[in-house]
Amino acid sequence: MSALLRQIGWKPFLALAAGIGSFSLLLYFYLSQRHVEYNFREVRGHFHTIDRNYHRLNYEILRSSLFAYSNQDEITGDLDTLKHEFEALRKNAFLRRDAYGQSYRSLVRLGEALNRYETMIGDFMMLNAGIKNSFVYITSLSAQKVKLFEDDPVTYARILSIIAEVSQARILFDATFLGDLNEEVEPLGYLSGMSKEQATLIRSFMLHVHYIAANYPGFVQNVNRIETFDLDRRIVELETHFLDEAKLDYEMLDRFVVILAALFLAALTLVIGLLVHAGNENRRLRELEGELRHAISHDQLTGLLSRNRFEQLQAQFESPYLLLLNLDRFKHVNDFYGSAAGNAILKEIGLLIRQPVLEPYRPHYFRLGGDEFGVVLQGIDAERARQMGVMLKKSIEGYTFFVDDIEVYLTVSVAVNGVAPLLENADLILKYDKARHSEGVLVFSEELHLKEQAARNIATAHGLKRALDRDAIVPWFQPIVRLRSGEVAKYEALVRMVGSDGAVSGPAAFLKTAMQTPYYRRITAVMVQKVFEVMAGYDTRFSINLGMRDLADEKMVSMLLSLLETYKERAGRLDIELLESEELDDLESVKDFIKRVKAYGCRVAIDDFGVGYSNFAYLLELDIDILKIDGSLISKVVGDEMTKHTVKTIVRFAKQLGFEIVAEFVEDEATIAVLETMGVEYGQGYYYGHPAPSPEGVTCNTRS
Amino acid sequence: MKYWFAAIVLSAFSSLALGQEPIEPLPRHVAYDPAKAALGKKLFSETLLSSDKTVACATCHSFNYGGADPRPVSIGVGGKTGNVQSPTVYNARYNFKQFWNGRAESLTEQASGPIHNPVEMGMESATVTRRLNADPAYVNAFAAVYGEEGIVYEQVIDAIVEFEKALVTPDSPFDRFLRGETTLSPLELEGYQRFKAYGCITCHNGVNIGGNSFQKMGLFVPYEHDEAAPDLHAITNKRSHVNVYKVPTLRNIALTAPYFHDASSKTLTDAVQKMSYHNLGVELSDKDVKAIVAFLKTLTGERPEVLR
Repeated sequence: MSALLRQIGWKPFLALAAGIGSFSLLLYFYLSQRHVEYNFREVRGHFHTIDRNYHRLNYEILRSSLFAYSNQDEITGDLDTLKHEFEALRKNAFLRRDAYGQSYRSLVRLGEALNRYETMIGDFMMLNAGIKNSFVYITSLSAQKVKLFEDDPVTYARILSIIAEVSQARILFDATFLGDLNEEVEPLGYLSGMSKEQATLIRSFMLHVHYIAANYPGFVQNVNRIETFDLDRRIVELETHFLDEAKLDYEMLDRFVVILAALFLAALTLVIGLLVHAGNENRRLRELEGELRHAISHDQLTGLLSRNRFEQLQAQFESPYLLLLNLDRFKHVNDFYGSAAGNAILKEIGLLIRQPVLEPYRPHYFRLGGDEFGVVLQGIDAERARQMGVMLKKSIEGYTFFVDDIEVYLTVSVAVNGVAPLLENADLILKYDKARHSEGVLVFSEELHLKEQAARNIATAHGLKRALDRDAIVPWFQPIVRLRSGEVAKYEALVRMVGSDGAVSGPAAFLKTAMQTPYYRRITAVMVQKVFEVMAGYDTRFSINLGMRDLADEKMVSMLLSLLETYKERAGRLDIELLESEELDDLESVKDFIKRVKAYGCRVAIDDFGVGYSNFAYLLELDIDILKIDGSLISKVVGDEMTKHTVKTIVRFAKQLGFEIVAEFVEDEATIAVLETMGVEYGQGYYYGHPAPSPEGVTCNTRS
Repeated sequence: MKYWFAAIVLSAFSSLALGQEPIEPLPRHVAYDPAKAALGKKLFSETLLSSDKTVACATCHSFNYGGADPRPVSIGVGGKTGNVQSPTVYNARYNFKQFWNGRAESLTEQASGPIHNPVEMGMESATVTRRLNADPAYVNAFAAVYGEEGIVYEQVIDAIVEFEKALVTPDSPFDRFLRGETTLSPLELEGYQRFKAYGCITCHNGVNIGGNSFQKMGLFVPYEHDEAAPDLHAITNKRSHVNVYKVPTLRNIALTAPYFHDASSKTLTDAVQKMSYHNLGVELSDKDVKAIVAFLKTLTGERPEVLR
């Protein structure tokens, strides 16, 4: 996963962050705009209510001044609403913002105007009551009560004249028509000789006339002032300022939104671009992986399944029998007729073993080694399997191969085995029991094998114990060289056991058995310890080998880590080469180990890549630095196009993932040339030097 | 369709019939929060709200006297007397402002006045809440309405105001007459005619038959002025506001004697004569006065629902 991330890089995430960021901002501004919109409507709503109430109020006042009866609740109600709306505006947080400074100042002026308006209305209501009552009183006199003065024509005429004047002033709403009422009414005040009823009437009449004379001009003026009061202008001014300022507010928000939208689109485009790019990269990787998978699961020459595939499929077979076919002395055929002829024969055998009679047993056909073929049959018993083995043996041995018209006959040894581990057991019989074959077909039997195995194990274990006691487990070193310059880049430490006779044997002879014994851990400890001691005298990097399954062994890991802790400086130069293992089911412990050793500066390599159990998921999941391509592939890279293609594919794949690549088994300059064109940087092999007891041992063709 | 048409025509006519009159009937039902009002009702009669625990709101706004005080001036804590006749609390929600000189814009603003007034209840807000919080019954009652955080002063006022909003006296004979549910006697009807003809209606109109404007006491014939009286002049200091008071409501007027801010009339007859002389500039005949008083007596409504 980490490798994949490395592959995709950080750019998409940056773009994604930018996208999310600008989108959030966009959303924020969109909501702000909604907020502005909402407040805008609310404020305008208040304006509208104020305007409407103001006009209704003016109407009510006019109505109240003209109509005898009026319900003053309407006036006080409208005035109340007006004041409430104004208060709501004054408290509106939106209008109090700096951007609405002018509007707010207009609002304050509107408030002052409203106060004056309210005062005028208060005055009006007090005056209005008296004025109306007086008019009603005076005008209603003419009808009946003036008749009281019919006998006094002068008074009668004076009263009627005053009534007429007052009526005219009232109807015209014009105080100038009143004339000098006070003077006109004055003579009526001489009440001598009047009846009590007449005197009462005159007193009231004079009171009202005086009241009208004193208050009507003021009243008319008051009504006119109210009706012409410029609250309207204040409202319009406020609304104008508000609209201007809101427009600015909107424009600013709009600009922000446009900029952010552009930013968002840019980020989005970038993300899409990068994702498409990453997708392409990913697809290329998958294609490579597919090719590699095929290359490794199929034998390139015969098209049969590979040994690697056999290992993978092994667990899936249902009660399988393996028929292992080993061509006798095939090396001689190769040597004698040349490998081209040998390959042609191998191809033919690949076709030959596909016998229709095997079909009911769900057969799988493998090329398991150079001259070794395997047929796995399922759902078959031991006897039948043996018969099939005999049948195959006869088919091959009875077949005439032609090499340039020369007849070639082959013999083949066949082992039949249904006991796990399939291949190992079959191998055992071929190698150790050739003497006992019947018709050249051997069937593996449990007890036979176990006895053999146990004896061998005990012997090997004894050998190991003695070797450890004699301090005969030693590291040998082989240089790893930079191909381009020929310089020694580092040394790989390899385990060796020195026999009591001085004979040196490699890991193949004892390591597999050692793993079953407690000596394995000791061997590893001795090796690492000694390697560290030797490398004290060098400043190059160096590597040691570990099996991946060792990493699930906590004691082993803690032993290694404590060594790293002890030799901190050298630990920083250490490369750990991990060998894949079919038993590995605890990838987490490997990941964890890698993380821990990396803390010391170690680097991690995958060893022998290209054969065995290579699972590409590892490469993507493990945080590794180096890929070592298996020697069996490198040795055939010159001359065998299929192998060359496989190696090329591996190199491209490794480069895509950013790994350093080391080729094993580099034995001649032609190989180096091919590897260099592929872009392989490092190599090791006999061309540069055999493993030797010390780093300066046998080296050739290097410039260290 | 036909019914709709009929409904529209009917409602148009009925509103026209009502619209002609400058007096509106009180609504039969008003919306209020019953839980708060019940709490307010208790507080309204609570003497804990006064400094010496002798006076409650209800002491001066008695439900047996039309929500007002039968005494010329109310007596507050420590036997101190005020300088104005206590107005009725009934239908106070329909007054455009509160107090005789309208110095409170709302009931909420008004309710605190007497509590803090040194000659009425003489209390600090903190003392009010301390006393109520010491009373488990109140603590529980407030918790049920306002939550568990303990009683605060605003809640006390809020509950009292909610109660006052419920103090509406609907269905007076006159309201029912306006709604066409009953008829008035000829004398009462004549009284209403006089009431309009002489101009009483100019100030006493609207749903509360008053309470919606200021007016000068002695508009035509000057009325005696007491410097200490709480008139509008005491607030605005304007010459023209001397002896100016809020026009009081005439609802339940038959129950709220004595009359005027100075309690100078003990009977309706006297009050009508005095008012018509000073503020209408007419000297009414006994017949007219009798008719108007008969009309005024039709303004007595039902006891508020919340008190029943």
